[in-house]
Amino acid sequence: MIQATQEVRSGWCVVGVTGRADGECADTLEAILRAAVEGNPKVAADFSRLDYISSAGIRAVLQAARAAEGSHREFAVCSLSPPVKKVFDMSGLHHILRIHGELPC
Amino acid sequence: MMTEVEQFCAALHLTGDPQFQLTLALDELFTNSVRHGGCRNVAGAVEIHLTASEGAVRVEFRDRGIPFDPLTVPPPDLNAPLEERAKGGLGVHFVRQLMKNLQYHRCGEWNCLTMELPI
Repeated sequence: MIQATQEVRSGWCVVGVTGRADGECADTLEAILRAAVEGNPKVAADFSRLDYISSAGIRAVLQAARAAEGSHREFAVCSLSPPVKKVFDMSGLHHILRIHGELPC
Repeated sequence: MMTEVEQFCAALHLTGDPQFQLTLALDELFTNSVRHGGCRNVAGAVEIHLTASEGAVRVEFRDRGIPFDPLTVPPPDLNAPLEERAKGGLGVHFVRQLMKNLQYHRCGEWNCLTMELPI
């Protein structure tokens, strides 16, 4: 189960994601993030209420980041909970993604 | 499956990192068996045995899918730029990071992966 809210603050579209980004929900997460990237010049994914992420969820974030790069949009991942941060660290995505401790706005 | 893993962890008073590591590793293996191993919609195609011993949880993950030794998967290039990151291999990479003493055997029609989670 995954849910998202969306609001624009200081020029950033903040997508607040709640739930679990596992194999069942990864396609939903990718669709949510890609839609935000397509509709906004700057997107911040707020993962402070994301409890869990697997490699399927990581790939969803990766695909959204690639879409943003391809269309010259800004895409940042923010406020990771400790277990989710651990998965991002193992994935190596922290080398190539903008990951913020806090929201940029 | 995850409910049973939670119950196993609760019975052992496993919380925090060990519970997270066990949950993620089993999620990745199960997802691979279903998505890539041909186990989707096949009753009894996956068996998971968890045994607690002193200092470790011993895990046996078996599936009746196509023969596949996950330990032969090369590690992903974690430093490759965004546009070059391959889509696959990350789940197995996680399992190898999270678990210890991984061993693979093909037993008849079963893939059998044994591993340990230090606790």
